[in-house]
Amino acid sequence: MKLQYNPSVRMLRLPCTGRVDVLHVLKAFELGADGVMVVACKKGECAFETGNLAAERRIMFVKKLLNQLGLGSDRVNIYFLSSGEADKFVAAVKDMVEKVKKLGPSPLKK
Amino acid sequence: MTKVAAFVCSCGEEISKNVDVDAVVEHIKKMPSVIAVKHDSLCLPSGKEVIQETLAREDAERVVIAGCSPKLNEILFKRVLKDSKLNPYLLEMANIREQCAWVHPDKKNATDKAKALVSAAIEKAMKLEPIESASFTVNNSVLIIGAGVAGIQAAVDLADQGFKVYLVDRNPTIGGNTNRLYMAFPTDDCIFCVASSKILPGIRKCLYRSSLTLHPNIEVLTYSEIKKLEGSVGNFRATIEKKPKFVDERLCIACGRCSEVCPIEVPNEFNFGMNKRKAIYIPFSNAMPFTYIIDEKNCKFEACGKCRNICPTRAINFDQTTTELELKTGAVIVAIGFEEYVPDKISEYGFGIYKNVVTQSYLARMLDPTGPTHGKTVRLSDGEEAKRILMIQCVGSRDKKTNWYCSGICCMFALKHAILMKEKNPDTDIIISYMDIRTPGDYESYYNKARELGVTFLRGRPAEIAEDPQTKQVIAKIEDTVSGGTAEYPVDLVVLSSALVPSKGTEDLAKILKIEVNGETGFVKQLYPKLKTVDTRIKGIYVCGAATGPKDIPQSVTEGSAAASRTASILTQGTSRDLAIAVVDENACIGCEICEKVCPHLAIRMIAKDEKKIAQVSALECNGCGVCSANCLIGAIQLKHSGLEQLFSYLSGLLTEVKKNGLRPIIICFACDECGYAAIDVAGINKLQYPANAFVVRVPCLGRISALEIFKALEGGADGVLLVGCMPDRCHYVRGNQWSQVHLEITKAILRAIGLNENKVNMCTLLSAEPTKFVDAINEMIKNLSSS
Repeated sequence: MKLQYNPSVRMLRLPCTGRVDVLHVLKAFELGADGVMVVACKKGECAFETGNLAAERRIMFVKKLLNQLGLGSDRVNIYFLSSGEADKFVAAVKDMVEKVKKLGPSPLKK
Repeated sequence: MTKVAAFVCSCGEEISKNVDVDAVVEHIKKMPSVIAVKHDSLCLPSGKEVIQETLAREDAERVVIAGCSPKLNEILFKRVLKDSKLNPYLLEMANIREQCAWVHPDKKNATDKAKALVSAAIEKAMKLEPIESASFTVNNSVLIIGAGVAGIQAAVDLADQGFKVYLVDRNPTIGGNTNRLYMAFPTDDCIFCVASSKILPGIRKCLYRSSLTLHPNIEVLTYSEIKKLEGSVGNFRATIEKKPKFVDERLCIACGRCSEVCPIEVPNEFNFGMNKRKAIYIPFSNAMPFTYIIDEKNCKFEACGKCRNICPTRAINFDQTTTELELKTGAVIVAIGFEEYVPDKISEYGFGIYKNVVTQSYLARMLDPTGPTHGKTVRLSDGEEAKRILMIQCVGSRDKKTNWYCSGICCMFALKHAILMKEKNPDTDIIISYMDIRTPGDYESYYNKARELGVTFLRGRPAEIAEDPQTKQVIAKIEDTVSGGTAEYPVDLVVLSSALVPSKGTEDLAKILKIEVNGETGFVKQLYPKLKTVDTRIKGIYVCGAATGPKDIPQSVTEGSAAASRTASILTQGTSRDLAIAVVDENACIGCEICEKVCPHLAIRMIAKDEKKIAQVSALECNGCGVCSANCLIGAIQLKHSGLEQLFSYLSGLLTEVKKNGLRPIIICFACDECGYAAIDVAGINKLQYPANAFVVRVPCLGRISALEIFKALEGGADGVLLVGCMPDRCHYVRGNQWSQVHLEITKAILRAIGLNENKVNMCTLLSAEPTKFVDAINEMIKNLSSS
């Protein structure tokens, strides 16, 4: 389909978003990421049943953590979509980039 | 003379209270070369011991067991014979419980009948032949025709079990009808989900990365059609014609440069002409195999050549031609699906005349964000957003003028689309004009949700649809049958929920495969719609998905797995069987081809042998019904387990005995081993009473009985003959009972011609749950024959 989206996104392929740990997200920030987005299957349609829900729980926790640290909770977000919805992914990237741009570069960046 | 061991069971007192068992034993003892033994419960371990001891001591060659119905314990006693090193088919049972002791309270009559039944069984036993079992080599591969959801599911299931699968589709890509759907119910996720294979773990995978084309056991053949099928179960030979794509699938990297330079633009049929595509194109963005293809009709080939010049991998080859390949497979699965009915014949809806009248498939393409309108629902006349939409249900369904049947899933896809549109834009006005909303089970939640979202439901069918020539608005005149009154509804877009009809070429394919299609609907006919839902009349050819009728994805996938399971069992277990089949006397056979034509399972083929054409029975396909032998002009084809000699011996043994008793009229009941014999047994189990004039002769199927057997019974002294079998269209051998109807008519005609009462012969068709029908038929026949 050759849809276009912002090149600042780096993909990390996981078997399931249930694999995402709080530590992974924090590590990304430690290493200099400005934002972290998790792209999961739609709710109720996880190929491994509840992986995406577990990811959502952890992302909510990280959001709280980032808020307390003063980094801004919008630096991490989770999006739910299915493979037929490539347009939704493009919209998600746009949304994420806008949110992070509003917050500016991560202060953890050396 | 052949030595027969006859065991008479008193079944506790179940038999002996109405039948003088001792008298029966004394009676058969008088017969030459018969050893008679009485026991009170032969089916118990003590009975088994007695049988085995006797057989060992007396060196008997045939066994007769008089007691309960063979339907109950024949398999058990066959095992006892086997344990005694005797061929299990050398057993004959006399049913003196269900068909004698339990139904005839008069002890003298019952005892006389039991004597006759046991003597007849002994006479028949003398003629029994041993039947061996044989094993056959089968090809461990499967041909699947149609790569829609059902075919893919079957392919994955079989490939993971280790069978080689050829997945053939006539379209350039796999996926079938689902490719066009965008979202699917009941999960409202995208349609590219397929069952994943063992080599790509996970519960499900996207079609485009399902590795179907990479699975070591699956060979995907797209743009290919089956042209010929020869052979039989276990060893089919299929001729496949592969049309040229003019692009080498192995070289194409789908970069799309060819399409960019192609100067020819034509309407894109995948999107119903709502956008354009080039003459070299990829059918849709997730196509599998992910390969471009040249449209033969529109491409200028050498005259242009732009695509060939720019292709970086030199994948384009204008010289490709149609190729034929032959596949050897053990089984075939038909998964050819359905297609949407084109409603242009229903003139009042204006499809094909008014641009803003479309079908649900058009709407599905519009709702797809990768589709021609990028997810917007538009008026096709001007591309403006459609704000008011009318859906019409049952278009081409439940209508005697088009298709009488209910297409089953139209309510669901209409509701699905209505909900998708309402969720995207709550201001869209949606009206669904319906006769009945059919949403079984939890599908009802779609109806409830649509109502909550504000979809208007209007009960009534539009009488007429017109177009405003200026605004191109469509005006539908609909009578509201709930509140009464007719009103006009001006809308932007009319969406017809069109019926599901058999895919094009279903009938031609059926001819190639020799399977049947349903004469009323045109879909492929199942062997038995209740229990053999994925079988066809040809052993080794299975059918699944919407090929047999309208179905949604969950049902199609379930049937795909079912067909895979049936296939796997025939390719593994089905290779060994007892040869209780028809055999041809090669010297007598005159090669008239009648048996080949009448065989309901097409198990007989003509072969050349010693410069003579003769019939040959395929041992793996023959089901042993006997229709062939009933129709053979010279008796050259006979059932091993129910041959002419065996039947004649039984009849003469029976009638000689019965005539001695002076009981009149004597009625011979030929009963098929399926519903017929079972119903007579059920009469016994329920202790229904009928006169002891009726004597049952068990045959595999009524199709086994011809005028010859009927006249043999009459000649032997019977006053009447009753054929007891399955209901019309419920024959367990497809159409054996239809053949017996033919032979019944022939017999009646002969009786008339020679001046005899044609009511001497009759037929009674019933279900095994209807034993009273048999009792009534017997009583009526006795009444008729006594009065005349």
